[in-house]
Amino acid sequence: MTSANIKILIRFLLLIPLQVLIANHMRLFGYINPQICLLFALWYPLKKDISGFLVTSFLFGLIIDMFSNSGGVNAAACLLIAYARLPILKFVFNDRDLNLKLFKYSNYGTVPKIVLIFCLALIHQLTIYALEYFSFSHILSILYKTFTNSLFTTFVVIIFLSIFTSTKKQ
Amino acid sequence: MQFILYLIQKHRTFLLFFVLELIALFFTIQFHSYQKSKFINSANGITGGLYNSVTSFRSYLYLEDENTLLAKENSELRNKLSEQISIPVSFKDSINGKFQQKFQYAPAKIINNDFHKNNNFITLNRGKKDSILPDMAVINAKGIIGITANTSKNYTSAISVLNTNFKVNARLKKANYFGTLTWNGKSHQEVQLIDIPRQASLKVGDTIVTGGRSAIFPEGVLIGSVSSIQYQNNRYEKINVNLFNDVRNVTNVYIVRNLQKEEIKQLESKNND
Repeated sequence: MTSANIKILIRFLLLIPLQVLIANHMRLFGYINPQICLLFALWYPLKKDISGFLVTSFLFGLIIDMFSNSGGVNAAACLLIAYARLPILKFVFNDRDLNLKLFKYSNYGTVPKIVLIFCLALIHQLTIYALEYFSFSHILSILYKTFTNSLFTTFVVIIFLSIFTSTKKQ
Repeated sequence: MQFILYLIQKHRTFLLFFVLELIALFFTIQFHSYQKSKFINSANGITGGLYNSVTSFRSYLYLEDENTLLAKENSELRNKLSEQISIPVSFKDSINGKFQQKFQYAPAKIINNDFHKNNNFITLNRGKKDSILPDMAVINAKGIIGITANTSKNYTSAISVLNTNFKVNARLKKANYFGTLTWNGKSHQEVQLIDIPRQASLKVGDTIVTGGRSAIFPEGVLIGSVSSIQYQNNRYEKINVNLFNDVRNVTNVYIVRNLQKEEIKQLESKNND
């Protein structure tokens, strides 16, 4: 096991309890829970071959599903953001030949980071609510909840990201 | 053949993503069609254990409130007992002797409680070890809480009353008009009563209790009071019921076992044949 893998394992084991025991019990205005589990996808090292990332994200989501009794909703959402992370990253940071090895969040400004997190949160939340309601007649409340929840998630995740990302310049 | 292999090789990440996403969707759809998911539920040892240890820590904070609630319930039960004794001897004998006991109550503790979603679940700290089975009622002194769904050795997950798939037979306390209780997923204080016959006279503030027509809930368990009535086209369109329980804030509950459920079910299945 390399140190990178151990880091991933520690995040895996810390973020799940954080999400299901604390974040899922916040219920701001009755329903807004920040999705701290986005951090797992954000912190996962960038690589060209993402099959390992897909499998771990799927398992990550599935365990959250077990805790919250929601079928496969979180697994589908986490898998989707794992797959969409790199294209969105390239698009938001406007960098087609992104250097995957030297990539650091601290090299970029706050605004693109917020846009990135908001995009991921939007995809994640939309998947969760769409699969949870599973009907077209609730489309308005799905969109409303997705939007408000994504806003709050972005706010919380950007704070976490700026606290726990090292700012040392290379 | 080589070409196909090459294609698979080239798109293997997408294929992996696709297959995993299909598995997730399969779990979701299975969950929507049948609320008792075999694998993905919070009744297993890991999730239940984690929730249990956190709750045992947190429950100290609410000890005083719980104590008052239990003391109140105790006094109510004592009152009921003293009512029983005043029944004439011959009648009392008939109650104790000829009629079999129909319900059994087991105490349990809620270790996880959702109420912000559309389909909410509760996790309880009792399981197969305590002979808890699926489809048992979960109640407390103030009213109904839910129905058990999945059980593991030590834990049980239950469908909360705040679940859009929750349905229970309910009636007016003052008259024998039956309806069905559902939840529309909006407010965690309000549930909806449907299918009440139009000749029933209803007022805001009327008490709703469980009807005896389900093999799960005992008759007469409190549910809530009518908060608003929509009467259209000569029939009840929608009746909102304010729950007596604040489901967000419940710790100690009872799981109710219907001892005659198998007998009732067998009899009913004979009718259908």
